[in-house]
Amino acid sequence: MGDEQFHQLVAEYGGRVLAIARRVCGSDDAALDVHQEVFLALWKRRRSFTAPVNWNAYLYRTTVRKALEYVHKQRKEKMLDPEYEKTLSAGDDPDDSARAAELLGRLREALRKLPRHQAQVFILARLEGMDYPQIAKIVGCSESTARVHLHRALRHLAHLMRDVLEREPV
Amino acid sequence: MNHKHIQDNLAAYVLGELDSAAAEQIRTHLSDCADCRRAAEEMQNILRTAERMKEEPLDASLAALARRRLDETLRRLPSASLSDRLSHPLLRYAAAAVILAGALLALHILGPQTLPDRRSLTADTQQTAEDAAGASQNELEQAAQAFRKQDIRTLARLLQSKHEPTRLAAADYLAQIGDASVLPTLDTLAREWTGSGENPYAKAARTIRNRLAEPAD
Repeated sequence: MGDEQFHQLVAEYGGRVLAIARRVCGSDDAALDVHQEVFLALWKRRRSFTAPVNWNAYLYRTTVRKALEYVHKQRKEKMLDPEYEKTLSAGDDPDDSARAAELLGRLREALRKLPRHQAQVFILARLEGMDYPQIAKIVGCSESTARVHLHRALRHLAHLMRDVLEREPV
Repeated sequence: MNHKHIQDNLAAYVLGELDSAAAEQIRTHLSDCADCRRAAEEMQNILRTAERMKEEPLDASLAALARRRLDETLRRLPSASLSDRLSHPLLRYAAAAVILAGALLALHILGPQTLPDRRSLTADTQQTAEDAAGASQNELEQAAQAFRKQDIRTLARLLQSKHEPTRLAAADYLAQIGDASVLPTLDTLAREWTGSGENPYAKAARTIRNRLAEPAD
């Protein structure tokens, strides 16, 4: 891959990479870091890199993977700013706010624990709003397999978050 | 539908993927089964939480900032480092062959005692260049992170890195922050600068001094 093609990719897909990283990670700083990681990795390997048939799919998969790794690493280091997630809830009640923030944090953490394809499909379906044919192309599976992954992801997430979900709903 | 069948179809029901007849069967079951009702509510709660994640606003300026950061990092990477130039496998082999031929020639001319003992010159040379590029890259990422957090202490430490790209990045970031405490280090680096063009450390020090001299709002 030439330098020019690299810069074209950044121009074409940079915004999408940033948006998905922002949703998965939950902060601007994290999104900037993931954006940088995705494209720097590509830059370093550009001379020996065999271009994928579908850049869109490749970058979606890579971004989701790196964003989930980032969430895991940050959670582990307890560096995510809890104040940020508190601002995401629309509710005025501080209890609702805290619970909404807790749910968001737990969902991000739980996504990291799902099998890779389940996490990818859930993120593409529920955070990116894609339908099964689009998801199938990106993940590289059939539409019916994508559907099964999404159903399993939902059940798996409910299981992983049961302790927090069992409390009163927001 | 029996209880097991309902459980298997609960995710599809919550996602709104069932036809009206199947959905009605599930609804009827849920009105009688507390366990399945709770399971459905948990899944709905997850979907609501995901919806909140989806609706989180993306700052319009973030894309421009991301692009600028990436460009800055790429600009500060060691340009055409050995690691970069040798990234193609064939070039690596070619470079290794050239170095090996040189080593054999030296061995032939000078005798075996003049060569390093039992060490692979090609591997060492390449590894050293890669280590240096990797270390420098890590520091550049640290510098970018420190800048975002306005962490002057880390940037001041990176200003004394042995890697030139790191020092330049740290100087640039510190100039943007404008903290007087790093001026002595910048002045020292400016005096030691031997590169061509404008002295970047002197420029950073000047920017900070100008900023400090500006009247406060």
